[in-house]
Amino acid sequence: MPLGPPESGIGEIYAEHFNFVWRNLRRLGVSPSSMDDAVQDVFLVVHRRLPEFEARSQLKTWLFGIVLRVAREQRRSARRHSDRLAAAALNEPDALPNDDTSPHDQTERREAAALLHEVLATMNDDRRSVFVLVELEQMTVPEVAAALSMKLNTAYTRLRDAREIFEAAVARYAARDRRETR
Amino acid sequence: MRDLGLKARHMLDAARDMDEPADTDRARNKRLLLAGLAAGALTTTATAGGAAALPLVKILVVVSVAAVSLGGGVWLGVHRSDEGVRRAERPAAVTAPAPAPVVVPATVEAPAPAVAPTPRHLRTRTRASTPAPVDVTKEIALLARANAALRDGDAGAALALLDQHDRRFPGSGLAEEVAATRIIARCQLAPGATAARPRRLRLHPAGRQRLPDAGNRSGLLAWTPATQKKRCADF
Repeated sequence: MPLGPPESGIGEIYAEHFNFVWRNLRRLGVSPSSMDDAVQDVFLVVHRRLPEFEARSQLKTWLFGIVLRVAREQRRSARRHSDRLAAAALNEPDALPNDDTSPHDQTERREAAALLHEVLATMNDDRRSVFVLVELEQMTVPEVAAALSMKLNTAYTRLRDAREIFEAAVARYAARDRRETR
Repeated sequence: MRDLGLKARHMLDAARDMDEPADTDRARNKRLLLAGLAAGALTTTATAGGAAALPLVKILVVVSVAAVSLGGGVWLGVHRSDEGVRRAERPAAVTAPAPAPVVVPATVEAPAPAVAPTPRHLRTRTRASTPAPVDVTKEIALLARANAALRDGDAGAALALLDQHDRRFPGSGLAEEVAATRIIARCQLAPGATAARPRRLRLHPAGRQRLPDAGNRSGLLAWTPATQKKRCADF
């Protein structure tokens, strides 16, 4: 029996889930220059559709579905406008490294983030979504399958494929790194 | 199923936090959301053929974006026009039933802590230093009414509502949005103003339009025929 919309209003949802929305829009391919628009789109949709939310899934997985659609639309829009700058900027991580980290660690984190974005951009929507939710958001595969309305076996297959893609990219990066440091 | 190898896991762990937003991202987007919700309140009250509401929504959303006070100046950062237009148009596509007031919980702005009553013998010396909590829902509703008046062609009523806003909510967090709406209303009242759609603010090459007489907010309200002509040329 549906429980009806959550007790939280848009303000509470924003306060609690803004970071989740932001970081996953980036991971799903929204360029830095389009982030504000994308975030607004997500929360305006949330505001509009909150009365329909029936708590059959967790709020976070419902939110991710909206994030996914908005990110897809933003990427389509960027392609339509031949936004080469946005495509290049996609690989730029947003966050500045923590001041507590050493310069070496800062470099390592920036390179890791750039590699991650590069690899995510090569994946199709399904693999990217599963990979992000499992490996970065630490959700279980059954939760992810439910969030994405996917069969459980399909979710496992997508995750396996995504992991292979990521492993291959890491191996290439490591090989390039070894060549450059010789 | 095989898990990720150590190198790949290490890479992911290094990258994980790099997509987190900054505090400024959070604050900026909160302001944008408030402006967007106010614009949405306007469009849900539009009639089915309310195309006239649309340009005002465009202006409100585009002009409201990233209005930032920097030192003595007031800058309006105008967002990328295409995305701003699409975003503004999206709420208009909502076929909501009878308009309901936009309800933004007061927790969007954290309420000030309660202040204990001052003892009588100290009242002449002390003042309550904590401002009353701001009711953002009422602010947004008032701003939405002002924009509705603009849509209906009643710039005078819009200005009266904006004056009411200034009286009721001094130091408002929506001050820049109110100022932008005031400019639009004054331009509509300008002699020779037509009912034509206001255009977006022309962009400075850097993407920002500095309002003349910036330096204090009352400067925005100090209209002379010369400044009026200059400002309204942007609409």
